[in-house]
Amino acid sequence: MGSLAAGGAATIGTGAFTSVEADRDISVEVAGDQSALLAFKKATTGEDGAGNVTPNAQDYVTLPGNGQLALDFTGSDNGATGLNDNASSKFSNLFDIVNQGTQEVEVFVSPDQPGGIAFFAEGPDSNTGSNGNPNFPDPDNDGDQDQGAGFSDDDPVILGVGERVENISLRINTPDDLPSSGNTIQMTIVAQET
Amino acid sequence: MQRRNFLIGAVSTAIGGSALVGSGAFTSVQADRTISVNTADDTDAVLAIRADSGANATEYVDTSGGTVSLDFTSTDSPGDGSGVNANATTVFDDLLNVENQGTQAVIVGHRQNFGPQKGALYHEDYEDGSITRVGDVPGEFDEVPSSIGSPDNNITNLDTASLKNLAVLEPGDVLEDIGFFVTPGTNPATDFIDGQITFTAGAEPSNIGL
Repeated sequence: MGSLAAGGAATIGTGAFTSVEADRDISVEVAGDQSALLAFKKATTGEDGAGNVTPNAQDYVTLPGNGQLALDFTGSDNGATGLNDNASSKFSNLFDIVNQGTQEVEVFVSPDQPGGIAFFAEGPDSNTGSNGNPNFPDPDNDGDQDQGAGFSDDDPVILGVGERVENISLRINTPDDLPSSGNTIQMTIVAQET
Repeated sequence: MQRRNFLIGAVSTAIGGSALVGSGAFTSVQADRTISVNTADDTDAVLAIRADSGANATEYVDTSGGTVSLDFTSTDSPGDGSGVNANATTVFDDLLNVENQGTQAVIVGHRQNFGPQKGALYHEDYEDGSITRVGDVPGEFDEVPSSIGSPDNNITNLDTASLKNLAVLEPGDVLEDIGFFVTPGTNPATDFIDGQITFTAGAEPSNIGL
């Protein structure tokens, strides 16, 4: 482009330009974890968020109104200041994950160190996941989902729109699963298209 | 309680103006969140395991390393004992107590890596009747050592005791006066080498391998 015909009428419809710069808005809103597209909520005693927040969620889960989910096992309301050493501790009924998007996703949680903390889950409307339940695929065929237990990238849970993984639990073996320094472990919660 | 900064996995949607309304579709979300964790000495942990008060606990319970251990190989002066008698039943009362410092009721017991006929832990919390059993069985736990011959009472061995007789601890409850006995059939010199007792507590029988 760039050559202009001399005649006036000939320019009509060419619209040649070297560059255009136009600012348009992209609206991005960051929501608190409780109301985000992939929502994290404290586990409750009933199904699908009904009932009261579970005692474990009350004690070990932090989820401020407009903030982010965090788990804290450095103490308990009943006087503990940490986990037993040389022990395997499992905490059930901690939090739920809800798919508030518009399409089906597969969801899993993984810790930041291989072989670390293990996560467990109850699938949507099912306390006993099995390989026959489409919500509990078992891609690595290790049978974990037979116990409705595994909840890692090898054993994701399929969440339809509006569905939730309930009562996510975790197991920490001490000292094996402790961070090499400090007292913080990162868990990554992933949801992706199926 | 310690808080750390998060790496925020921002959830971004880039969809043109009016199309945004009501869509909420996302391809993937990856969110990093933190778990804060540390260990405590047995005395302060979620399942607190402590030395009882009294002479036996002082003598035979060692909590110095942060985890509890029992040592019956010798006694201090003026006792000067250097071990348990052979061909005898030896009972050590009032060694340990266990407190549930978690958030929900748990069934408490133990497992051991030596045969149940060699000896076991038991508790005498029947004395004040404050601790309930899984089966909510009326009456009191049998006395030890009279019940040593019937491991179905307040022996806490999960592999031998009946589920209905195991103690249930509500949050804040303490199982008191846990003792240990050695039976006549044992060879103390060899039977307890690397002996290990594992305390196990869980909300449901299935949580503790029952």
